[in-house]
Amino acid sequence: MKRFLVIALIGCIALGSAGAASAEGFFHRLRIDSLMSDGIALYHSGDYTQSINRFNDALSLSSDNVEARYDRGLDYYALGQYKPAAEDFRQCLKLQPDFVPALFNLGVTQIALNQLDDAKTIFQQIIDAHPSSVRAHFDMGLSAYMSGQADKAVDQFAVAALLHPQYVQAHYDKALAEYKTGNLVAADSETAAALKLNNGYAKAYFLRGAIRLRQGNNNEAKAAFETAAKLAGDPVLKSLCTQIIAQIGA
Amino acid sequence: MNNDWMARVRLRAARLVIVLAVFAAASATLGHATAPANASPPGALEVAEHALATSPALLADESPYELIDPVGPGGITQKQAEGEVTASTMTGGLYNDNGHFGGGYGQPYFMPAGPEYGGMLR
Repeated sequence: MKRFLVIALIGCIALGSAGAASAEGFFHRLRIDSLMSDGIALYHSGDYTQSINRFNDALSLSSDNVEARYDRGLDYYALGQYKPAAEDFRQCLKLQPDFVPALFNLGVTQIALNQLDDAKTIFQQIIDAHPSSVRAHFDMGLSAYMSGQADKAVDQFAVAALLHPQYVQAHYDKALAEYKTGNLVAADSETAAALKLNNGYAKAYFLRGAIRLRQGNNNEAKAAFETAAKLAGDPVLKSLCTQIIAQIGA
Repeated sequence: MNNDWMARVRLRAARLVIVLAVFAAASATLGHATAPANASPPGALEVAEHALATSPALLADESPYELIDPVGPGGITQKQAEGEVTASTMTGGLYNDNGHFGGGYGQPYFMPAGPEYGGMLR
């Protein structure tokens, strides 16, 4: 009987300790989740600095928290601090190599850092694993275009537009890349495709104006630049159009 | 005698005024002649092509949904985030693969049930 009581007492102590440890773990996790939730809400409200503070607190409680590191990277990117953003996305990939969103965001950040070869390597890696990723093809096109490879950019934007025919930016960027290669017919056709999807696209009218100028059709060029000027929200684009219209008229 | 001297002075003064006037006019004309050559404005095509070649703003990016959304409590799940990357189509920043909609932020996040999470749902 005595022996039974001792065993029961030891059992109770063991269960109590386990329960306490479990409760501690539960509240620890709750605290981290609360910080994460606040950090994400602050990110969406545009308060990136406070959001970083929340993710820092979450990381101080669990340094291998991939999601906190990833979300903090988004904050750094939003603040234009691309180097720490890239570092956070890299750390995520060290902790969780198959975390594709971190890889994709690292690629976008490399574009922002003008590390275009690195960006292309990353997007190629994503395309190899997910050949129908419309966003990887689009960003691969951006990287190629920005590094002066207009031909390769055309191919990538073409795939993006083929995968998702309603993708206005893919049509427009393909038109821009075609223009750069000197293929005015293709550039014109893609510009028309972009404008068919969005007839308020000022940049596309600007590009159409440039195509018409190259074709020697000053009247249609002037009309396109006038439409671009009317639609442009960006004062720089508006001013450019006004300058060009004045030059055509001169 | 006195009148002769005065007449000569007047004549020389008049010549000086004429010479100065001609010189000033010539300088002004020459100055004007060189100014337009230096400030020759670029042609319309030149301005347009320069803008297309150098202005990053004329290259369209995915501005509103450039990066994949935040993941974790209050954000999207890792699976949804992966879906945003790998989807073959997109609609307004949301991915739409094979008719299945998902992605976008503000999605409810459910922690997986298990000992690590205590099965708690948010």
